[in-house]
Amino acid sequence: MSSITLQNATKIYPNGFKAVEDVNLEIADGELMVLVGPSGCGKTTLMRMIAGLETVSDGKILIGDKDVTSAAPKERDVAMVFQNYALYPHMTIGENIGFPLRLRRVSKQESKAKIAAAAGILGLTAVLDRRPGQLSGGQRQRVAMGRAIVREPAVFLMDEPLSNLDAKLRVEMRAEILRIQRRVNVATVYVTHDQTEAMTMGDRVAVLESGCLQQCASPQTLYDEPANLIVAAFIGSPSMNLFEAQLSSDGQNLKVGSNLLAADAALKRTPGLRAYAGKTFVIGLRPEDLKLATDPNLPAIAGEIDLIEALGSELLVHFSSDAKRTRPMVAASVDSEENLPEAEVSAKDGWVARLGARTPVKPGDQVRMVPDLTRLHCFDPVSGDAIR
Amino acid sequence: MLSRTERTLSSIILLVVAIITLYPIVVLVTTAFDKVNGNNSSISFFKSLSFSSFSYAWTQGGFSQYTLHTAIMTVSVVVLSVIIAVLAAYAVALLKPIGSRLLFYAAILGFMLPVEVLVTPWFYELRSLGWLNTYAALIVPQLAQSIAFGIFWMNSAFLSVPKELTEASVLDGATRIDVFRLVLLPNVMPAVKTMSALVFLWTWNAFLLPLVLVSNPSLFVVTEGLANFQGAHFNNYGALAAGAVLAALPVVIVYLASQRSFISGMFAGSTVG
Repeated sequence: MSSITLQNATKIYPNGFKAVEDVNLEIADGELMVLVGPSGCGKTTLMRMIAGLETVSDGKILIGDKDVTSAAPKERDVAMVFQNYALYPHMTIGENIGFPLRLRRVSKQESKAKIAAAAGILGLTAVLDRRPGQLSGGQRQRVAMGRAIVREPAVFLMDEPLSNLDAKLRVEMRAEILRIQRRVNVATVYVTHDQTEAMTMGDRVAVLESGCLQQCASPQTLYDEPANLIVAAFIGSPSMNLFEAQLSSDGQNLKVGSNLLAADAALKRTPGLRAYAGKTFVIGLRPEDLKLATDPNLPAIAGEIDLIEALGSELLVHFSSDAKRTRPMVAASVDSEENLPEAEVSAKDGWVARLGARTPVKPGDQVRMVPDLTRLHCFDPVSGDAIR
Repeated sequence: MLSRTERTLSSIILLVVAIITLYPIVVLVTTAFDKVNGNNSSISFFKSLSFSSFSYAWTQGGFSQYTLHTAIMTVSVVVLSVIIAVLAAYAVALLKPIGSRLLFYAAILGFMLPVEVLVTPWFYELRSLGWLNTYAALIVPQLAQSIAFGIFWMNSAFLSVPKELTEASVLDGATRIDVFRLVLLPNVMPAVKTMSALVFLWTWNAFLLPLVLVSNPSLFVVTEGLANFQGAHFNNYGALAAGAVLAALPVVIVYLASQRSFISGMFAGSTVG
């Protein structure tokens, strides 16, 4: 059992491509750290560097207090679950799980007991004599887990282990992996591009984009206090509404499109905003922080409803206004947006509000939405950093 | 769905093809079971069921010796080429040392060139080494061609093993030898079997190279022996047929025994670029 420390970890490929840049991260013993980010952000490369499957171009990697930067993979005592499970097709399930023990010359009797114990935990006892080809996706996933836990490694690495499962099984396995991780209680790095997985599983979540660490914090902190536009856009589904706004020179009003809002609540939450008086910046509002205006005199954002998604427990109301939307580059590859109906993605200047299931609205309605400015996020339009 | 007429028609076509293919084999086999009478210059259909032609070909015709020479040649070529080609292909496909690409293209060239082109250089080379009329002359040229083919064949087999399997085993604690022995080799076994069968068939049936490189009858292989036998017994069809059956029998046995892995191996090889 050990912690993992990354010090300025950098990976530059021979063609000059920087896959991972200057990442500093400390994963405590027993902690489950999720690396999340869009495809190609460097999360898998970073994990493979920890495993020793990729060389480290610069910086250091420590497991416990041992510097393993240039150690061979087998000297690092890490176990990894691969995206496609990487089970040995010619071995039975028992042999697959016991393979690490066989390589360590563990006695037959001892390894048999360990295989049986692991199979017991994972519900694989009945299939120990079968081959991987005869198992379902969920079972194969368990075998891969079994092979990883059987040798009691110092560090656990999981590379998108649930991405090949169907939605229902994914939810079940998510809970199961968490249960097993708590049980074996070793430092775990979990790579995923699915932010729901990241939020539900991670003790802490590290958001990566273009090889750089954007923010590493607890899921709730990431949601409540995103450090920059990339994190704000990536975490949360539907994503945060990000729009351009101006603060009047006297600091009294916030102008979003043609809508005027009182700035005092926002200034109270974000004192740093004063420096932006008379300038343009980016505001962020979570869909649940927009409410349908009941009083026509209340300052609000006016718009027209384009589309309503009824989820049973709530409505996702997509509406457009005359405010200018900001899309950080990363947003284009965020999964939740890819899966949304085309209308939402293509909606010009579209906002999303999360309203009660029985709110009386329909597409085409002219609405006024009151933002909860005590929960307003503000970002610098150039650097993308949060204004505090 | 095929219509009834289409099905009937395709059955008829298959039947005709089968008859054309099988007729000479049936004639050959039945003639081989004819009695040896030393002056039988016609083919025969089940005139008798006698092994005398076989025993004549085996003893008097020298097929016992020919078969022995061929077996020594074939087994040596198969065993050595499999060992060398598997190791070389592993290196070319996965370890990629400097110059391995060059070796790979040289290998492809080696088995693309027809034997007819290579036989003359082989003759001069082996003569200068003093290897003509030795087992080396029977084995070395065929071994070279088989290794060339084997590197090409096994290269794609090694490349078809998912990279993650190797990585997983390395993380599980496997040394390079463990990875090769416990993970890669079992996964490329169908391709190894297919390669062995193909090399066996080609080597056993080889004619031109032994004919040119081994002219001493005391080292003849079955194909040469059969040709020689035909010259000497042109009017003894029973003995000729028996000799032909003896020459072909091991090939048929190997083919039947390896048929399943043969076909699956062919498919495994075909899906990789």
